[in-house]
Amino acid sequence: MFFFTIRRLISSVVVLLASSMLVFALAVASFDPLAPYRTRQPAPSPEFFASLRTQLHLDQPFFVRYFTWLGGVLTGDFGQSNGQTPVGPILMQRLGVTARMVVAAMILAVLLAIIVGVLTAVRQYKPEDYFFTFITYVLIALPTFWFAALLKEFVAIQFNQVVGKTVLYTVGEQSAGINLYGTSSEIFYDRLGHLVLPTISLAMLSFAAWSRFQRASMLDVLGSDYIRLARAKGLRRGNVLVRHGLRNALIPLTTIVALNVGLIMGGAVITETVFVWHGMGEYLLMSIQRSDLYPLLGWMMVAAFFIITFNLIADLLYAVLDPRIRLT
Amino acid sequence: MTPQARQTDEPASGAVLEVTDLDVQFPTEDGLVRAVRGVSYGLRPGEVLGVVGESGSGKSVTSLAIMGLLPSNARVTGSVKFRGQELLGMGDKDFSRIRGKGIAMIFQDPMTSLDPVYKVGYQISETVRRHDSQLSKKAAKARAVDLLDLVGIPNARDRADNFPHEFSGGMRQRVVIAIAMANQPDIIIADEPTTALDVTVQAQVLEVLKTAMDETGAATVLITHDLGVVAGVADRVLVMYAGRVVERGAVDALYYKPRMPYTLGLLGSLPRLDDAEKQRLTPIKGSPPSMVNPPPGCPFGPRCPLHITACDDEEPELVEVEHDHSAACIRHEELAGHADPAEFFDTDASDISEPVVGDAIPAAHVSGRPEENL
Amino acid sequence: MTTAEKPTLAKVPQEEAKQEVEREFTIKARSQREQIMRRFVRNKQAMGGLLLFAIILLVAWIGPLFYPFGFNELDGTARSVPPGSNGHILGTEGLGRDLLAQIMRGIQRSTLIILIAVALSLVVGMTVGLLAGYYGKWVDNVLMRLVDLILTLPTLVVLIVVASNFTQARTAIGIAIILGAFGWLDLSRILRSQILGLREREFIEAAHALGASDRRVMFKHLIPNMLGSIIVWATLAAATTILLEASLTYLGFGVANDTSLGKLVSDGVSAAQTRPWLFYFPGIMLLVIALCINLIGDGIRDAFDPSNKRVRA
Repeated sequence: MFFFTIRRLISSVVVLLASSMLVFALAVASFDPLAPYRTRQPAPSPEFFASLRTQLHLDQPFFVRYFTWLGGVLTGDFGQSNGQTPVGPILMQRLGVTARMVVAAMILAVLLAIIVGVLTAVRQYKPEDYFFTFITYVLIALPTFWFAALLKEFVAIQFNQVVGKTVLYTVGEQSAGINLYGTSSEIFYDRLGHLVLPTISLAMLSFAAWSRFQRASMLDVLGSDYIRLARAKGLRRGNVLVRHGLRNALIPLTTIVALNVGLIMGGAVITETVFVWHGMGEYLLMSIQRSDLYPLLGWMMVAAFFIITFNLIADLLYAVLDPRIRLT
Repeated sequence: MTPQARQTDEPASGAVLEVTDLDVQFPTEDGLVRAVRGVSYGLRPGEVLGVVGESGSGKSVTSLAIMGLLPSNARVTGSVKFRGQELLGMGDKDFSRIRGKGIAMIFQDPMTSLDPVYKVGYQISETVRRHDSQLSKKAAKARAVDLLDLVGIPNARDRADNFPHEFSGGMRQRVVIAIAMANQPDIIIADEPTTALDVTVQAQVLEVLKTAMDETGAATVLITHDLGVVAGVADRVLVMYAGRVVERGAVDALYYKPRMPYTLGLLGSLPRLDDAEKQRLTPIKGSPPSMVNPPPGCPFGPRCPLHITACDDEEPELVEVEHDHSAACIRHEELAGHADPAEFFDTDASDISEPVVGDAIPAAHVSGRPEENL
Repeated sequence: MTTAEKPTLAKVPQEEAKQEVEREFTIKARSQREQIMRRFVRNKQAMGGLLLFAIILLVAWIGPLFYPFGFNELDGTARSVPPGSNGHILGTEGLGRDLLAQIMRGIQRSTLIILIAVALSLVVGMTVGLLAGYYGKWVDNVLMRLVDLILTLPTLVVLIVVASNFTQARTAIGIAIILGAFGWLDLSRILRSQILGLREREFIEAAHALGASDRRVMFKHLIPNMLGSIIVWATLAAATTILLEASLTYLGFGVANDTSLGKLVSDGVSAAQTRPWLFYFPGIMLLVIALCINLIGDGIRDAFDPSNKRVRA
């Protein structure tokens, strides 16, 4: 198990490095950081362009630029946005904002998926099954931003009216300036209020897909011989369901969840845009619009890092849960 | 008064298991399938009953019905009494107390019978602790190790901490047997325990099964399609066809004096190593009938070499042909004294897939590539 | 006594005249095809989805011939009017363009996008998957590592970055190509692992022994056996494409000049409160189409592999 972990860890690092090269190539090929300046009136002087080029290392060959950047990243320096403000701190701060939503959404989606998946499997072909199957079908076919807009424009307002005060917020990740005047618990609840709708929007698509997967996995497991043997041993239904059924049926889910991290990140970008959060999503779109190279690089590296990390965790978790694969 | 009441070879009270008129039906897309139709038998304590039949004869469904492990859409009627207590209709709470302790079961495929994520020792302790809540984990583990030792797993103490995938098929089946005997059951039902195993391993596992029967003193129901397996182990034999019992009796009676053509056919298709002369095998042509809409008359009729028109009128009842021996054939007397299958069955195996009433797919012709001998 | 008729496969072969190698394998596929079709037809949800989808497509393409308003026609007298006014069945948007006409046009463009994107992904995915699975070893290694590498980045983000590069490609076809260029990753993995399994089966060995070339094996034997996965993937990819296109457009990187269903939906978001018809109709339409495609895809999957239907032991 130990060596398995070490091997996977090393392999992940290698992939991360390769990914960084891909990211760099992709970003560099996409952007001309000088583009915003080319169209300015009055046109900046050639000397300005020349000095900007040197400043942004644009005169150097690809690999030199790559390693310079990579070296910087490894020491925590993500370069500078438009040659001025450092990328690193902004990136981290916005990461914190987005992470709240992503983590909450993933937890929500996984829990709901397990519950609904098991329920619909155990009650196959009964009304509950049809009901949830219908809902998941609809959720999978729903465009995330449309659903988010629906929640934002209609559910929030109605809910707040019913309750009598603003509980669910639709704009931003917290009320403006609350850090300055609020107590920690006020800040906490304020953020929570802002978190609810975006989390639900983001979670729904994943929940729908995962619960159908979990249902299939559960049905598969429930039909197997060892479940029958467990019952033949005299174990009660509920016991068998959880101890032998769920325990086996959860294993494939870990892989699926890990594989979907990329999708969730994409979804987060969309959700943040709908709810006007000042997180990673906004940062990404801003950087692209401004042809700002280093923020984009930093963004992609962070994204790749998390995806690779999640894959690693999923691999390890799988090995923990399924003794059959520990040998590899 | 049911026809079965005529039987005097039914064990009296003192029987550990009494199955009466067991009937199991499944609704399917094609109609109602009657998998088991009026099966009755008794099992005395310590007795070994062999249940023989082809796939689809209803032998597995019968035992699943006894254990209460049929899917919820199955319709079960009749009576199954375990030590006088009626099992059919019993709630899961009570039934699960009997499973694994009063009646234990061994399934066919050892490769899939064990949960792959739990250690083997745990899976044995699990059943021990379920039926004895006072027992500590340590004590249960010790008992598991003892049981593994008993079924012939070398190095039992260490092996108890292994996972099922670290065992071979034969070893896994031993573990399953260990689980079955763990709580000293009164009855062990072994559903084709050796079918999925290599021939050499089969013999070993049967030995282990015998050990289990000796250790626990349990009555055993050994279900198989292999008459050879039954010969060495069983006291009495039940032959099933198309969901019914077609012959029943002591093992010697059935083997040497079969009174139902199907039994005779089964014996004929069994390779015998103890015969001095070489003899051809006599397979039974055709395949078992579909159980959705069985035609009236004896279900074995279309395949039976003794078939006459009277056979198609109604299904023969199980009648006593001698003491403790019953058969369901209207021509059973003619079989008395004729124990050679070759007398009645053809030795020609070439048209195995000839169409039979109600079910089989008609064979098509192929202009001959001689290699294509399927 | 019976004659010496050899027993054989159950169904009657229709093409006994063809070469022997083919006959062994393609016959099985043919009779299976009927079975699969029958299973699909019996699936009520799938058939319902198929029917609805067909109706929608029909209306989208034939409708404009009968409908008085064009999709780009500006009706100055009826700007932002709710459904039912002035003969505009679903109302109009800010510039006076009829919503129903726009939706019909949008569906046309979106289906075009789906076709192109899925076809492109299919070609690339099958190529990569076949090469990796069939030749194995280092080819497999390199290709799959490449796929894994691309997958370390969130797909939507990659699409955004690429789309932002090609500002001239903000047409339906341009977007379709971009979507297709990145939509094949899943498929290649699926096919590759299927081939790894099929490769070991005897009929492939037999084909090789009879001297079949690699290409022949791939096209005549492997692909027909993978048709199920391919078709299922294609339908689900279609649904994903249409939703991705909508998301891309919403974020500002999708179809610009022309209209598409995704564009209509994302445009409608800002009007959710003030002109709800612009929000609801396109959104519901997109939902229904994606739903139909999913139902069809699931129906096909169940038709190919009914084992997951009645599982409870």
